[in-house]
Amino acid sequence: MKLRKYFSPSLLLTVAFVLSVFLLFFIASISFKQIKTMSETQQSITHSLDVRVDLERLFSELKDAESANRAYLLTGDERYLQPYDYSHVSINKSLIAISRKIGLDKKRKDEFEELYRMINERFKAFRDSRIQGKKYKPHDPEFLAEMWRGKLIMDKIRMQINRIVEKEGVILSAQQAEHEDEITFTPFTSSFLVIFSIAIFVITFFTLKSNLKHLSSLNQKLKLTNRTFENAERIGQTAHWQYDTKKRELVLSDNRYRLLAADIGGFPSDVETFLKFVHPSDRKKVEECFDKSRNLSAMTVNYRVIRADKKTRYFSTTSQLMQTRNGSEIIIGIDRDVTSQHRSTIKLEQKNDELRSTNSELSSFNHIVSHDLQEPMRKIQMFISRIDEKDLENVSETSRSYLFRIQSSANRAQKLIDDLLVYTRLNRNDKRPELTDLNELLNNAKVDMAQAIEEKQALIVSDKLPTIKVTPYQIEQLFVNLISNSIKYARENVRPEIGIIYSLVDASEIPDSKKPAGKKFHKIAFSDNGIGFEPEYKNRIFVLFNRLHDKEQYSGTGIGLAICKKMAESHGGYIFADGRPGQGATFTLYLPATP
Amino acid sequence: MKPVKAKILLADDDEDDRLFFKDALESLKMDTEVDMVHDGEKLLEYLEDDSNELPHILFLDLNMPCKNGFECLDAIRQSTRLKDMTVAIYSTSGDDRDIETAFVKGANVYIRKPSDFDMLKKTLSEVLNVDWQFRTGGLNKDTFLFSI
Repeated sequence: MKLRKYFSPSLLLTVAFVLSVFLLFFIASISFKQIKTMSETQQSITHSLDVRVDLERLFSELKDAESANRAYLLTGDERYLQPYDYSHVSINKSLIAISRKIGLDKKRKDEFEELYRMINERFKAFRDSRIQGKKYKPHDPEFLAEMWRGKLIMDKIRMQINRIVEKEGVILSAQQAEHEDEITFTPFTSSFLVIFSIAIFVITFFTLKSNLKHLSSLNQKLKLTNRTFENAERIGQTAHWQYDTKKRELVLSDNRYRLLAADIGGFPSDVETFLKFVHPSDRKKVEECFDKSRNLSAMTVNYRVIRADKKTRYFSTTSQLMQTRNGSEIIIGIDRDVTSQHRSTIKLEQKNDELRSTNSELSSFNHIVSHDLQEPMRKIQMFISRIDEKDLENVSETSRSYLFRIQSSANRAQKLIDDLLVYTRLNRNDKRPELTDLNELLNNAKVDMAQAIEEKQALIVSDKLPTIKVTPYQIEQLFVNLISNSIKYARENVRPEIGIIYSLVDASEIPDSKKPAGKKFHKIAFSDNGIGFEPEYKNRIFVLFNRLHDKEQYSGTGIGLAICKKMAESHGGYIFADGRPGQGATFTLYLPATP
Repeated sequence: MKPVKAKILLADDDEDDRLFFKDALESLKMDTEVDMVHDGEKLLEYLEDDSNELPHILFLDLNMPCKNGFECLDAIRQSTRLKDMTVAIYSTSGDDRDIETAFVKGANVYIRKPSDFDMLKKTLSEVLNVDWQFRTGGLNKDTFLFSI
């Protein structure tokens, strides 16, 4: 499998093919050589056998010649010499045949030369005896000596022939042994060749088969991917195209036709037609983007198209140049029909504008409240404060009480305006979270409330608070409001006591919290010994302008706790109230430990 | 040696406020001379007129017709003749943004118009007893908003 990384299947196949062809050639040539050697051995065996037969025949011919010679010598009749003449020719023929079959082996040649010399010597003796044949008489000692000498030569020839035959026998048996070896070895090589060939064929077959299988499964996957992609484009209202810059060929995906409300292949896929669908006033923009996307960075263009059904749609196209491995440059483009997004964006922008104008209206309303409404309120207070004590004595008791009521109402209105301003100020985007020591903020709050604290002799006991990232003035205001709330709603003739308890808790401990567990929160609980409240009001207490007590008894605008809730929430935190009538109230603040 | 009469200028478009201011100063029995202008334009005309003696302190309302307090403050601080004048902002607004803007633009002190006549008297007496030219060096944002 690793090999696949380095070789493509086709390369692998080529290498295997070349290798097996080489191996087949190699094995075939070995086998050829073996068969050739075998046939050579076979031939030399045949030669060896032939040489033996030839030698036997040679000797018998010599014997014929001998006996013919003898008969001639004994009788003197020339007719007896006939076989001798024949044998002379055939002996010569036999000698030539033998010498040819012996080949070039030095030892064998030497032995044969010896034989040849001996035969020549014998024939010389024959010739001599023929010449002198007529003068010989039986029992002539010279004749007898001649005969004896002839016999000795013949004996020597016989011995020589025997020796040669014997040696040929040795050679023959050696050759036969060799032949035997070759005979057993050759089929082995041949069958190895066959087995090897079969093996190569089998391996090639299976490789091809598995490759084919792999290929067809790849093909299947590719088809599936293609189909998925097609569907994805159709569902996602996207399309793609490829443009070959060299061949100037444009290929469109099927969905590109659908997006233009045309039949697939319903219009020619070339750049001109492509541009024809683009809204005339956007055409230049699209062309520019097309040109720019030739330099490898992705370009996006938003434009209108006029579909085949004459409807205008908004398209967004991102295109980029890609270089393929074979050096051609292709621009790939992804089109999206963004009409609905475009429309919702426009709607959103409209809403945004509306919101912006509402906000600015609200802001000018704030301005009105802070300046224009405050001014007359301040003046009412001012004028009342200018009424002399002496003048007051001159008016009736009822009028005096009315005047006091006017004053207290004006004061209350002033306070309401101030609190409202603080509340609306929280909407402003002036949140500047910074790492702040909450103990310091609590101290600042106490300083702020110093007068009220002193007046009521309030006791505030606090745990050590953490240092966290908050918008300082908001949290300080929150502390001020909670302390002022506790002091305001203290029981009559009871010294107000406020206990502040801190702990780090998990989000899961926060009631009604949708935050996932695991997130840590700072829990800061403010408990007092005040008048408390009915538990059923624990949510209403935080609603703007909601008050649980009448104005005459307890001063309060119903904004303070609403501000607290808003501040806690703007920090991603929570605030909860708990209480029982006459048993005090507890306000629990949760601030995220990791904002 | 008789001390120099303190010359005070008030720029405020509100008639009632001008009346309160005048009454308060009179009841304080301080040796002061008060001039009043009704809007920003008139204030600048007054200040640019060489025949008028420059005031020791200018009480400047923010919300005025024609030219508002901030525009006047800008003009004063940009003028070479007027730039060292003591300017006390005298406004109804307690808005942080107004206070900050006044500070940045170089006012000497920010006074929120009190809603009680006694308080007004107290405020004016305190403000007039401070040598603002001397205090300018140590001016900071926390003490900028005047409080008793």
